[in-house]
Amino acid sequence: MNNIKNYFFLLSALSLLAVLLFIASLMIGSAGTGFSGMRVMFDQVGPEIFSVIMKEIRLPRAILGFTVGASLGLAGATLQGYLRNPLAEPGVIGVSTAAALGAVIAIYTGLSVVMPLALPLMAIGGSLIVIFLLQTIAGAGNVATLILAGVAISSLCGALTSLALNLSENPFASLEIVFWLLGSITDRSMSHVWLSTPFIVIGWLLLAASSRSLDVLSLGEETAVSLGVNLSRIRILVISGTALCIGACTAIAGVIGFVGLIVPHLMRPLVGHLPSRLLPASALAGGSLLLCADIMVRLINFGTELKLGVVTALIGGPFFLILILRLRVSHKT
Amino acid sequence: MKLEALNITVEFQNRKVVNDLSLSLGKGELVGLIGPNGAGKTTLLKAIIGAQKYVHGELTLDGIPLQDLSQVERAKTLSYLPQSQSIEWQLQARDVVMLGRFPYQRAFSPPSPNCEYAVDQALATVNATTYAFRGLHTLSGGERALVLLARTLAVGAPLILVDEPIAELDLYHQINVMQILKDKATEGVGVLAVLHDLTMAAQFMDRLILINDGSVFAEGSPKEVLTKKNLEEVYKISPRQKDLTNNSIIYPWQKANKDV
Repeated sequence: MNNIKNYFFLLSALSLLAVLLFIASLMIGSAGTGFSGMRVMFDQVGPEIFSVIMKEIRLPRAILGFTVGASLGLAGATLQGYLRNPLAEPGVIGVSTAAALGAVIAIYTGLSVVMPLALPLMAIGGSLIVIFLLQTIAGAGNVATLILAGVAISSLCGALTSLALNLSENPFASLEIVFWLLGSITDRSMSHVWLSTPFIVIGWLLLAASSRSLDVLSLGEETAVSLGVNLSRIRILVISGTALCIGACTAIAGVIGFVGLIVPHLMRPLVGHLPSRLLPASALAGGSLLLCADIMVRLINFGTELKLGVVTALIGGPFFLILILRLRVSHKT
Repeated sequence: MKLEALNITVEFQNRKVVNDLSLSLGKGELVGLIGPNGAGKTTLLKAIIGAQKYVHGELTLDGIPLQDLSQVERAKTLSYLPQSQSIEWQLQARDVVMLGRFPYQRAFSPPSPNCEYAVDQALATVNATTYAFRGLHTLSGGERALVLLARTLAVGAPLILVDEPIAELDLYHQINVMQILKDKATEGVGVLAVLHDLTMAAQFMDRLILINDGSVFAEGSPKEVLTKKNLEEVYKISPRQKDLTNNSIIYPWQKANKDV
């Protein structure tokens, strides 16, 4: 009983944190930061431009910071639960690289210049193709087949992305591809929000529908079947849910690593290790972490703005190493 | 509630692992499934719970084909304990037992009072209440086995299938688990247990089914099944045997002579 109380306290605290970071994210930017900065900005630019800056520049950035981070956290937690592997993350089934490839093709062909929304649309197309491929290749197989298929798709898409860079005659396009791959939510508009939200929300719902079956899967596949879990239904939910929300996120923000890996690990001891309880906590914490990283990107000034994916990887890399060290220690004893 | 398996055949790469095997399990029965490694005992249990496809045969519950039941109905009727399970994550013992109530729970709602009650009862049955709130990874092998057994009991199914429930346990816990299964059978639950310890099987089981190469080799009371001849032929061992009034103590003494 106490358990459930603690859990709701944790979720409330995480929600509050996310709301505070969301507000903080709205208050930071080059035009004016903090209460006084925003006051000065309001006086300088007048109410109309102020409202445009808030609504068209800062609001989409804050919304995407949360939805992208929450998707990464949620999908990471779901995949770790489904694959029963603490090292799984959204990239493991090849969705992010495939979405990235779609975007890279849009930049490479110049399509994104003609029509800006072509980039996210092609990225989402890439992730939809992955759902189809995974279902055909690994549809009836076991978890190992799914991971292997994910690795194969990942390397193939990575190779094709490198090929595009290799063949690109336009240095600006190459630079744009590289920068885009680093991951960022700078200068996104409300149309990016409208485009990605439906996919992200459907993805979240599919992942949430799998949550309690993930608990039962921790007893092993056969026991799960004996308790009435439909394994192929869960597989479809997890693959499609991940592909939809991660595909849409990659389409908008590029490749942002490590959030989906770290967040479930941070939350797991706090929720009593149950996968179903881990999902909402990871979504809220993932959203908060990405909002926080995006705020850091704007506050730390190296002359050029740091890319969000670079910051998350800088935090995530060392964390990953510590994780492996701890796993090694726990295996020894 | 009566489970019947009729002429079940399971194939792995054209090899018949379970070959035209029939058995039944009724209310309050305590049936031991014995036989050497690779005889098809575990495969048969998996076929019954729906985790293994069979190429031929029929499974019925009170005459109704199992495939006509929904997965949830089947889960409520047949509870399954696999052999030496590894549990992912560092779950709390009580949370693990609660997973047994999965067929009764609705999505996105906390466990009903009924479920909480069933879980507490199951924990009390195996005498695991004192460590219900500890992590499964912190428990001893015996305590862990009891929690997993409680998970199987928490389903509240009229039929229980257990695969080698005492394989890794010390002497006290072996008898403890066997006694819990026997008590369950007295309450009217049908129990089918895969066992390797023939003395335990003789002591606790009402009926034994001896399986060899995927088929039933002998079936009946422990006394009828555990004969020297059967053990030599199926297990390839010559036992030392001491017959008691209703059962016998069997000690696997040496390999059987090849010409047997």
